[in-house]
Amino acid sequence: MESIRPLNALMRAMLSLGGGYVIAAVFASILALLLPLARADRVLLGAILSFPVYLLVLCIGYSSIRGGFRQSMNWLHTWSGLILSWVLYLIFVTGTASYYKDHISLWMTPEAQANDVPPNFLQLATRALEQQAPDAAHWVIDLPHQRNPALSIKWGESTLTSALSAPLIWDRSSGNFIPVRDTEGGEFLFRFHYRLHLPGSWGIWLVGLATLLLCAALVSGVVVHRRLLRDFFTFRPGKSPRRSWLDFHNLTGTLALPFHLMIAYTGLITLLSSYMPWPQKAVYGEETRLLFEESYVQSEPLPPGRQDGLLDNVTRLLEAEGRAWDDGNVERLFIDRSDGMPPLVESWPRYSGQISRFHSRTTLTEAHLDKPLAEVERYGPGVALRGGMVGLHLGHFANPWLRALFFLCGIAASGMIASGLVLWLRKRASRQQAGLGYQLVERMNLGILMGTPLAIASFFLANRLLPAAMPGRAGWEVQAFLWTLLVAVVHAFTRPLTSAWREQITMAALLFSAIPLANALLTSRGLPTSLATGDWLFAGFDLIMLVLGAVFGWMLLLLLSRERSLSQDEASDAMVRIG
Amino acid sequence: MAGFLLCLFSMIALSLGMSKHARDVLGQPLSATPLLLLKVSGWLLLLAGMWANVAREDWSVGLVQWIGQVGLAAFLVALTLAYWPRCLPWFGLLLSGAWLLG
Repeated sequence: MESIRPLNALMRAMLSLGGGYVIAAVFASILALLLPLARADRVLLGAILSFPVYLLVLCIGYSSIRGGFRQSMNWLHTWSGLILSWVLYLIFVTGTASYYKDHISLWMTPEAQANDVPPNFLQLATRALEQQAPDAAHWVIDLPHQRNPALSIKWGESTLTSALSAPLIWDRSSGNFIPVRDTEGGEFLFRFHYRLHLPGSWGIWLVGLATLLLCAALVSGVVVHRRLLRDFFTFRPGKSPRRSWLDFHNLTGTLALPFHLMIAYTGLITLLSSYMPWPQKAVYGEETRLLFEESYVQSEPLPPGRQDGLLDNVTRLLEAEGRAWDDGNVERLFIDRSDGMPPLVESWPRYSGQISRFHSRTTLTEAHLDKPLAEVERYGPGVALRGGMVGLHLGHFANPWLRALFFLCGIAASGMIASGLVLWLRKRASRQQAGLGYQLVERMNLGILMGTPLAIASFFLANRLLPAAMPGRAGWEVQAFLWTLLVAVVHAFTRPLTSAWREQITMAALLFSAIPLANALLTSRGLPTSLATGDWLFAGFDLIMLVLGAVFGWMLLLLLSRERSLSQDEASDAMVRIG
Repeated sequence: MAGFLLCLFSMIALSLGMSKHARDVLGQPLSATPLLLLKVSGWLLLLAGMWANVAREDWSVGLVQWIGQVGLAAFLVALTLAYWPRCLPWFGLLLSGAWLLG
């Protein structure tokens, strides 16, 4: 096998990455200008199709980097997989947790028993808002729905998140809207998975690059996997560690391959205007904002005769609820009360039984009072396709079983990345043990693979341990997450490797088991109570934490028994030598 | 659940349709005809699993659910083959029995 000079490889990598992007951007812009469709549809279709083109150019650019095609794909798989794999692992673990972000947020605000909202919830909410914020320009009501059984209210001078008040959540036991502890809840994990808590757009760009490399690794992985169908069910845990890890990597890779491809592609599409803004710029010029306005159906505000009194309108909507608003289709209401404006009610509907999640922010009109929302709105192919892809990525449409499947697929993806990293080491263990690169990967693997779950556990624990009235406590919870991650990485680089693994796994087992304990000691909704009262959200969360603690405990036992057998081997080796 | 069981049976049939897994499960190699029969029935069951999902939900949601179920079923079959190969047929029967009772 002819090996390529490093500089040459770097040049080619840069050329394929940069050139591929330019080709994809030109391709998307041409489609956006030429397709015989509405403006928004042309732009979105062009951008959606540009990513496969980019990937194709990238793969062609690398197809002869190492002599033959298969060797080149092997090379591409190894390096595109490795280079941002720790970032990918962080994205996948926090992203997988985000499938339950609403549940996590509810667990992190234990003050409110937020389930079993009575059917007249809209009246409850508007009455509370009249009392709490009679003068506010905007009211926001978060309605209970399948993923989030809570009813909460916010208000402010605009609908920007930063301008809104802290939420009040409806509490079953007091029958009132009550303030809850300051926390970012599951939203932090969700935001972290695409912004990585980096300043400006750095996080978004890093995540985009990592996702692109993941696409390249998946495609080249399918090419290099010689026995994809023949080894479809093959897992040989008893064989050599390298063989078992390879089987595990192949298994998690192939069985959830549709999920991996889908989540990578739709992830790029979700942040499409950051990654591929060119078709948008080509068609709209400076007015790029118009794309999103045109992506929603523009509807007329309520006619003047119907503008009398906000509550009247909301009550009318309530009456229409039976027909148009059933099944928790509407997740959020924005009520604009600014002076001189007719009172508008906007909604973020979610259509049960359909994937798409682009039907957001519809201004409610008379039409909505008589018909289901879905019949009022029709979308062009580009808008519909993007809505479907974003919907698939977020998984909001999923029933609890399907949500669990998505969650398992996310775990499989994390396992695929982790096992890929282990394999990279195994393949090089005999060759270049002392190499600097090898040691770097060895340490980073430990720091990130264990640091991520440790950081999440600290985040949950901080939520229970920090005083509820502490100023800026939401920020401190986030600090707990970030510092734990940093400490785990530093610890991985400073301690002897085997002790570091042992210590971090022990820590993970302890922290995850401590979460239900802290919950039981510091709130009135500990595991015994939640099991007895049927508080399934709390019971489920605590049980999952216990399962995670047990999994790490089991890993610790495996590690200890392996260490013992290794040291016995050494002892018997020594005996043989003495003998 | 019916959709998932169909996917599970499909995966069991398809895995038994591979001679190396058939040897592990049954203790003896199968000849070409039963292998082919298993393969064909595996693919048919796979389609039936898709139909069961698409008929119940919106077709798009049904397809997503079906793909997830195939993945989970294949993972369970792979684990059973790795640790308790002899139990594979019983495993499928047990699950469908539990479903019929429950």
